[in-house]
Amino acid sequence: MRRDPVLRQLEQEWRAVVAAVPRERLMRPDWLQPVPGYGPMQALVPMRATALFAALEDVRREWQELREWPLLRKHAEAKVNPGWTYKDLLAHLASWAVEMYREAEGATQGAAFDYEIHFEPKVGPTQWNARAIEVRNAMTLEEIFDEFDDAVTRMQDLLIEVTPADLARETRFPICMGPDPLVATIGRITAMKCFHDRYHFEQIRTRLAALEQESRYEGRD
Amino acid sequence: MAKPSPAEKGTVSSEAPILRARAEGVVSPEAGFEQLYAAYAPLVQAWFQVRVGAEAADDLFQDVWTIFYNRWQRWQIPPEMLHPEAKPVLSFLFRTAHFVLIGYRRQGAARRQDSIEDVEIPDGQRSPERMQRQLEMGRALELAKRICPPEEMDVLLAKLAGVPAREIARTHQVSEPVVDHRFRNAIARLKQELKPRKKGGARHA
Repeated sequence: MRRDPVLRQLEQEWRAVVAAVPRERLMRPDWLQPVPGYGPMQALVPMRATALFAALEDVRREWQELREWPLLRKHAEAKVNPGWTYKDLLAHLASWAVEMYREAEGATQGAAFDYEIHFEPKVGPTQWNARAIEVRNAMTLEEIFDEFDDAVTRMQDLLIEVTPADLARETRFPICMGPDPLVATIGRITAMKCFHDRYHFEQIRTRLAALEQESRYEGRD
Repeated sequence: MAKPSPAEKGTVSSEAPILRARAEGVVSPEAGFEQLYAAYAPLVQAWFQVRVGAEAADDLFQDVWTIFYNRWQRWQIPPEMLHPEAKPVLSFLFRTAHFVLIGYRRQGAARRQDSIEDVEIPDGQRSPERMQRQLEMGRALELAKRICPPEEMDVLLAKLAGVPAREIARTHQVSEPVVDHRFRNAIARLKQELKPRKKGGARHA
């Protein structure tokens, strides 16, 4: 079958555009080298609002896909770990989405935070997490899904509004992973948030798929 | 002379060998990243040059690769990703480029003037050169950019670069038939405009 001449012309022109990209573009640039000691959570910290917006959009879309996943609704009250149900885990993600937005907003306003969230080694801020889940106990799944979505959307709006100087400024955040509060940029806490969200998304997908396979195997479905 | 890039033909035939090597531990994440960068950097650069022009393209290019680098550190490679047609990395890059473009458009014309030059960025992350390139697009691509709505242009470029239709649909949150429809619409518009006119008829410059 003959190829459409217009499509053929487009393909030729596209190839020419790609071929015209300078050869030096094929060399990995200096800015694409990892920051030593930062680890996989933030090997490279995006510094521009458009990159942070895109990273959050990726997380928000994945959240929407989870929201539409029937398996998650079916097993919402099942245990994902000894302490939490899947609904609790979603509430945990929603609580951190709200907290991260609050902190990013505070950072852009130059506000000093009058509270601290203390992380215990290896297990994180257990007290803060437990309280955040408790206050969401009465919420429906829809309300939890909405809460996360709203907080991420507001954070994206904020990033679009702020100046490059706001993004580059180091702030003392109320997060204490060691003895002192974290001093970081909004870019770094956004990267941490996205890493944390994706870690739990993966956990939900993997464990639910295994749970479903197990139920099928045992003929309980 | 430098080795030709696999992307030189405008599409990459398969990324599966790189993913397989990474999954089997034959190459390190860093080495795998280098190979994917060499394969796809020209495509990503070309996408942005066509969509937003050479000047803004450099910043948005940097956004996409920074995000991909972080994701690649913990990239999961299930067997279905190794199918030659799957192209999960190309799909991710296209999807991320689309999100970056949304952010860029939302920032608006005034904010676009606030360039990265105003920000104190660690030395290790600063681009060595701010390339100012003028892209010479062909007649059909130039015309497509002028007459196709953004959603059709997105589909057109993604198809030309070899992004699977399923991934284009997922990124744009539409069905695959809608993707096909947009693609066919774009081609039909171009055909109409490129058609030789009768003497005295209107013509695009």
